[in-house]
Amino acid sequence: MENEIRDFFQQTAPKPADPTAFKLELNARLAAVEQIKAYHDREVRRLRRIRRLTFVAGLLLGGAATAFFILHPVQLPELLMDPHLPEGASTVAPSLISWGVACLVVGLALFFPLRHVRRQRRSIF
Amino acid sequence: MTREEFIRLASAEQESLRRFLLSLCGDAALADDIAQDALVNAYVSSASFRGAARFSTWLFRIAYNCFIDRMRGRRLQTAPLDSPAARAVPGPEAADGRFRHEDLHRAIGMLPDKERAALLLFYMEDKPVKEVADILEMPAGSVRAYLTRGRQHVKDYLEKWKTR
Repeated sequence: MENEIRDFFQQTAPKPADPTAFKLELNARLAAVEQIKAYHDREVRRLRRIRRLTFVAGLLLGGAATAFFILHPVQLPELLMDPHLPEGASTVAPSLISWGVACLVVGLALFFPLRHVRRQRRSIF
Repeated sequence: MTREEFIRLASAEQESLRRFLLSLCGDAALADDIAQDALVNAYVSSASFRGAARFSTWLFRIAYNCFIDRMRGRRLQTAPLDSPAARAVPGPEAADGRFRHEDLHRAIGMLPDKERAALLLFYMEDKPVKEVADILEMPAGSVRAYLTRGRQHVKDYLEKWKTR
């Protein structure tokens, strides 16, 4: 019985149209997909490179700022003059704060374009 | 997987995939469009294909999901046995073979998506229950239940039209 039904189904199966046109269209679509993929990969690579460069620049600038503050101490706000702070903290703290703020700003500035590119890619595919 | 490899594997499955989708949605242009979408989706995610399932199982699963996505929001094509759509089908003057086949395909077209897909994969594409279960992402027991119910529904439709 099962085999009879199977034979019947297979004998009466519909036949899809010409496969050549289908293959041509598929090739064109796959080529387009590859182009979009390559473009997005390039964008992600570019943004990653910028992030690495910014990180290195941040390290160098942060180091330079710290050295500058150590060599040329400045008048600090009252908060940082707290006697309970460990020795040297009042000198290093401002540079660390400015360094942290700079890193945060740069990090956020790079995070959004990267996220945008990734989302764009997900929405396309 | 390179594009050439993908095309080679996809070409081997292309005809049965298109036939399955054509039987599933009953519209050649729509079936080909869904097949193209499925193949593009499969190509994009081909890096995630680890070979745990057969390529054809994986491809049919993507195609079935594309079909479901495409059908979502559209008017439901299925009809209960005593609905006007089911009653409106031509009757016994369709006694020759060609018409009997048309009746069969019309009856299959009236089944709910999952029953129809299970019947087509099992009988038309000759896939074992385990593979049908993988494609439809359900346990093998559910596939057997859908097959039994689907067969019964088709039989009911055909008998109902015959008695008219």
